[in-house]
Amino acid sequence: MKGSPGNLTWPRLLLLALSAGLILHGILNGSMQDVFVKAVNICTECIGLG
Amino acid sequence: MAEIKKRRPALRPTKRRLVQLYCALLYNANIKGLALGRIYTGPAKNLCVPGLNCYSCPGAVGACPLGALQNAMAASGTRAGTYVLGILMLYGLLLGRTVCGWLCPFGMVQELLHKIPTPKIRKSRATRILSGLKYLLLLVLVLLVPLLYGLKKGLPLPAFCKYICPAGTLEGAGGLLIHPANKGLFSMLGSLFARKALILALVLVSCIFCYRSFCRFLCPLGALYGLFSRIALAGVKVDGAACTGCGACVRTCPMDTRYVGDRECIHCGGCRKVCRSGAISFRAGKTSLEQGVFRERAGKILKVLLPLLLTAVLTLANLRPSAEAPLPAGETGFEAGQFPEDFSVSLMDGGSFSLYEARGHVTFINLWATYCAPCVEEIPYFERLRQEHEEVRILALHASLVTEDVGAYLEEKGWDLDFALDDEDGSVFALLGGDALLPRTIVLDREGRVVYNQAGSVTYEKLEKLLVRAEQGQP
Repeated sequence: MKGSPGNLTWPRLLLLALSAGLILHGILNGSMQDVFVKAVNICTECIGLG
Repeated sequence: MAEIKKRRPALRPTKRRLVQLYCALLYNANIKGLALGRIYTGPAKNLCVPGLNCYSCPGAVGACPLGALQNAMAASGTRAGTYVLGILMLYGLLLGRTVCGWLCPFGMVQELLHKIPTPKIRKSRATRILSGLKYLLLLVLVLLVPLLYGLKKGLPLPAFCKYICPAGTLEGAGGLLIHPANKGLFSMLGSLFARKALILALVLVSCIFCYRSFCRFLCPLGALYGLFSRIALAGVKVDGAACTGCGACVRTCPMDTRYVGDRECIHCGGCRKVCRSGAISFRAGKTSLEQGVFRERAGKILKVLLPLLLTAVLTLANLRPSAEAPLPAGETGFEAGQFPEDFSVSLMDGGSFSLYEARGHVTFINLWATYCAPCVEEIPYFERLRQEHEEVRILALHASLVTEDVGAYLEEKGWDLDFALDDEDGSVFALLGGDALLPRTIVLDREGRVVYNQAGSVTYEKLEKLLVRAEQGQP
């Protein structure tokens, strides 16, 4: 059956480096803090309470 | 007796089930929060967990990646949500939909429900078509609606969380409502909750008859990870040389797969058992994980590492000092009928607000934050209340956690209320019973006694009714 991945070492490495870069950028630009703020506060509307 | 012995292996949990249980416990390690009905507010919430797990669940110690992604899209006008994108890309590249099969607590709930013995709906052309719906939900409710609403109105609208997410209703709303300490939340329940509870019920019932129906048809997180199916490092692989092409793997797979490892495959490994030629195995990259040496070593390492990780998370999440303020003794307190301790805060326009000096007036205190959409939507009602009842004192107190310049935000909005910012320790919030639930409205009568203190949105009509109650001194 079809399904085995081909040689993807370089694309994987490039994308892993990109994701690490994005995470680092996010830590510096404050988007990690945004995640934290949302996660430690309850948005009553978002969980359907009203 | 022999029959029982025969049945026993079927009742024994599989390795995958143990991993799912482990993850459910790891994601929800805040046992103290479950006992107190309060959510975890520690630093682990900076990190998104890989699976779907509502961060408003009192047990949750990490952030939900789907909720975080929607909020990041909503905030695109002010800040690029690169952190969430990076985390999701990392999980996608390393694990892909292995997350769905192994690391998602809501996936485990769906699988357990499917074990209830009833007639089952098998996969078909119709279910394959339906499996495309989750990609549409990802595009519309997770990406476009939050992005466009955020850009147009400057407010977050996590549309999937708000209108659909059954995990949020079960873990977030259910987890909070089940605790007696949150009984006040029942007064907030309305049509939104009724709709979401109905969706949850439909999803749970459908899972009894149809394997992982939410995961297959509706879950945008699975859709997102599915996009990484060709490139994800971990998963199942087919040895082309050994494969006879019998198709037993796809025929017996309960997901809507067309081939092993496609974007619908959750890499549960069930197909390994039906492959007579032994062509299917778990892989990391191109390396099979089922070679004797690797399997033995990895097993030994994981047996040590996993309990250590769980112990560390359980310890850190539950032994942190409680941020809750103890309820003051006697008549002092923030519950209806009690008198809050006096406090004073500096107003953002330069003046000050003192609770002591507000005595003699009915006082409304609104606890809010710029990142809380329901909070921002109800501020105009307080403005109208102030315009129509000049004798009423109103303080809008922003939470100590800020994500932007609150002064600049207020200037842009042009609101005319007494706004203040709580101190770094959140001490005024604590005095008033404020917590992670926003918005919260507190109403004091002329003597300074609490007549109302509840989380949740209010309307102008509700504020007027509360004013009448406060004027009559009815707690």
